[in-house]
Amino acid sequence: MVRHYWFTLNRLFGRQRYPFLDVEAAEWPAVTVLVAAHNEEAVIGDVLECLLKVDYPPDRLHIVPVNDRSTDGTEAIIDAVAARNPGRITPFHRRGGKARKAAALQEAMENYVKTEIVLLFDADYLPGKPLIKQLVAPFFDPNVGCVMGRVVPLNVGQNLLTRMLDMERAAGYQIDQQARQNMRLVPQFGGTAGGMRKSALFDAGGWNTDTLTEDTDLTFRLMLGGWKTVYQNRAECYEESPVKWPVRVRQNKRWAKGHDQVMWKYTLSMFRPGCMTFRERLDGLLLLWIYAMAPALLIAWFLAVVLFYKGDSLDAPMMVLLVASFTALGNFATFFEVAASARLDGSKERLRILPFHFLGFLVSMMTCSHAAFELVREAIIGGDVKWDKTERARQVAPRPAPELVEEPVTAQEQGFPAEEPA
Amino acid sequence: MIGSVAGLMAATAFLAVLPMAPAFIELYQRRDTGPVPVKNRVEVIADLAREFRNAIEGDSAAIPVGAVVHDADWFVDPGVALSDPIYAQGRLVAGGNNVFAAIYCEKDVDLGSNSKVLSWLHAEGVVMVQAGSRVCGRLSAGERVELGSGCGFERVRAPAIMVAGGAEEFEGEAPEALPQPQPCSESGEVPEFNPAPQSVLELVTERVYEHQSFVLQPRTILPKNVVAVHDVHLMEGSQVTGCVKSNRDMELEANVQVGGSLVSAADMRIAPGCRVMGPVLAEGELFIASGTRIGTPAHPTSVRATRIRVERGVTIHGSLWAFELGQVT
Repeated sequence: MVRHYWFTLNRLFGRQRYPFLDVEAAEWPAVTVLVAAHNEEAVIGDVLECLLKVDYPPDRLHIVPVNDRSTDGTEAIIDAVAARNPGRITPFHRRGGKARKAAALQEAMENYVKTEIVLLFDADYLPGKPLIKQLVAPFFDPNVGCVMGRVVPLNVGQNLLTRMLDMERAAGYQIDQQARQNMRLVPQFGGTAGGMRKSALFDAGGWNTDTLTEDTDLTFRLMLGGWKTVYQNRAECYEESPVKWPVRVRQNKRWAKGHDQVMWKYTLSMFRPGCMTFRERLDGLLLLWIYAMAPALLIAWFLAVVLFYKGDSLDAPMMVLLVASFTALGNFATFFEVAASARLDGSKERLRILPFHFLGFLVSMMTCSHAAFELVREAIIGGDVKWDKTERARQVAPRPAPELVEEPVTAQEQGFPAEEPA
Repeated sequence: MIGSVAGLMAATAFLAVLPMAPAFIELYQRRDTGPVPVKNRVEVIADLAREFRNAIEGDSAAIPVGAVVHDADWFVDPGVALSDPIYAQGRLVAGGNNVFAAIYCEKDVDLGSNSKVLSWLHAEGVVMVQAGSRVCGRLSAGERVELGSGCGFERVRAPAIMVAGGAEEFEGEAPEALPQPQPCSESGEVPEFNPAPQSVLELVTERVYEHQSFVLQPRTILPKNVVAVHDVHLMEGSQVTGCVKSNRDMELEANVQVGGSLVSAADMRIAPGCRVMGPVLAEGELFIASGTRIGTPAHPTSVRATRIRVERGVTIHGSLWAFELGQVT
């Protein structure tokens, strides 16, 4: 609770840090952009077209679509775009090997990346013109191992879920990430719309191919190795939000499970001497345990009910219930954060749907709890951690390449179905 | 009795749902469902200035209200204040103590002493800002910006930004050129893309990580990047081939050369005669002393700080941005 309020108040009234903002002139390094794609025929063409139009010296920008064992038309689309732009795109068609994005990226890093700076995008992203320079500029600081940009949902108006996700995303980036950047805490690398220094990545041991959230895992390994992660709030990139609840639930579950894996792995490491400041350790620990709040709350609710029916006086169960509820939701800290982020973005009317976030909170709590219990069960009785690909909502239909110029694009222009009626 | 209970229940339900009414109305009416606009263009003041010119030349209806157009060389009398943006096709000379809203000039601008530009100024040629003047917002030039003593600035961009004569006056004191760093080793083959390393980020990848303050002895050459948890102090005549980061203050003594960037989480002080090739970024105050040169004509770079104080005799190639206040001392 304190953390949410602290971050929000920092963003509203504190000193803002943008040390790498608009570094417009520099000797720009050669950069490799990896685009992770697994069965992405609906979106892969758009991201490649956008990358070809960015404001970065073309002879210094190398695009490598990492086509990870796709069985749809992804390969053909990549090859067609590469053929139209000779020398700009080097496709990596991965036919076999270990599943998961981290394994594909590790292979691409070893065989296709010749540059010190590497940027990453998921296939559903639509990078704008200034994005690459904004992401590369922080690497002029030799302390920076990783950079994260801001992800902005494009298909906001499709339904209630996309509208809620838009606000959640805004809170996560506008408030959490930027406040961490302001307060020199631990901005989190999200695995896309960001980049890293190759030497830092290899210094940290490369990609961890055994986790579901290789990005969070990398954030902590870099921090333990004395590298900083920088968040660039003005390096904004459109993405596609899930439009169906089951897709969202699976995505959230994957994130929660992967985050919990990282929590078990690095909690003790945060107490060892190293290159971290005290505040980085504290924030790192809180960040590591963030997804553990959901099962903790659920257990507290359950305990309250058990104590009530066990016939104890009302004091004990009520106390458990009150503390758990207040800590998790009753203090309205998360709602305050979401509302503040909408204000910072200049949004007005969308703030009115804030009460619906209670629904999102309940779904998220159940999902994260389920993920945690599943992880414990798998640790005890064994079992492979399953990776679910996020379904795309964009239509696979021939359409003109996206012209990401002065005006913000609309979801329909990018091939999303029309908004659902209310 | 039943009716009363039902009425009470209905009233209670209504009151319970009432706070949700704005949410349901917005959900139904969809008044704010567009994506958050993102920055999708590279903002260069020269482009803005040329758009202003195009608006004037292309369509008279699009002329900004009150825009002043001059098709020849123009001398503005001392003390004159013009509250409308100016488009000058010839040279513009302001006599002094003038106030302008904004200026776009196809040739050179000579801004007389103690003048003020409130919004932006761009000239395709040379901009000379005489002593005591102040340019708020953005200032750029196609060839060169010359800032006189006591000038105030915010965001300046030009192939060469010369402060009160520039570093050329001090070139005799300049140390030898930086040693050329060796490219880092690479393995594997990717025939389609293997550009020769040219940025310091590619050339120097090793780093020195100092848990306390870092001090480089005089006339020492360090072919690595430097990261210090506390202060960084580069002593006279020392050279760093890579980039330097201090999490607190940074100080460069006279004639220090840095092949990469300088990044300080607090204040930075650059003594006379230094040379820096990469970006210079300070989160606190940046002081640049006489005879320092940052960037080169072939390799422009960026200088950023919350507050910047520059002495006379400094040359910067690229852009200079003081987030709060820039001052020539």
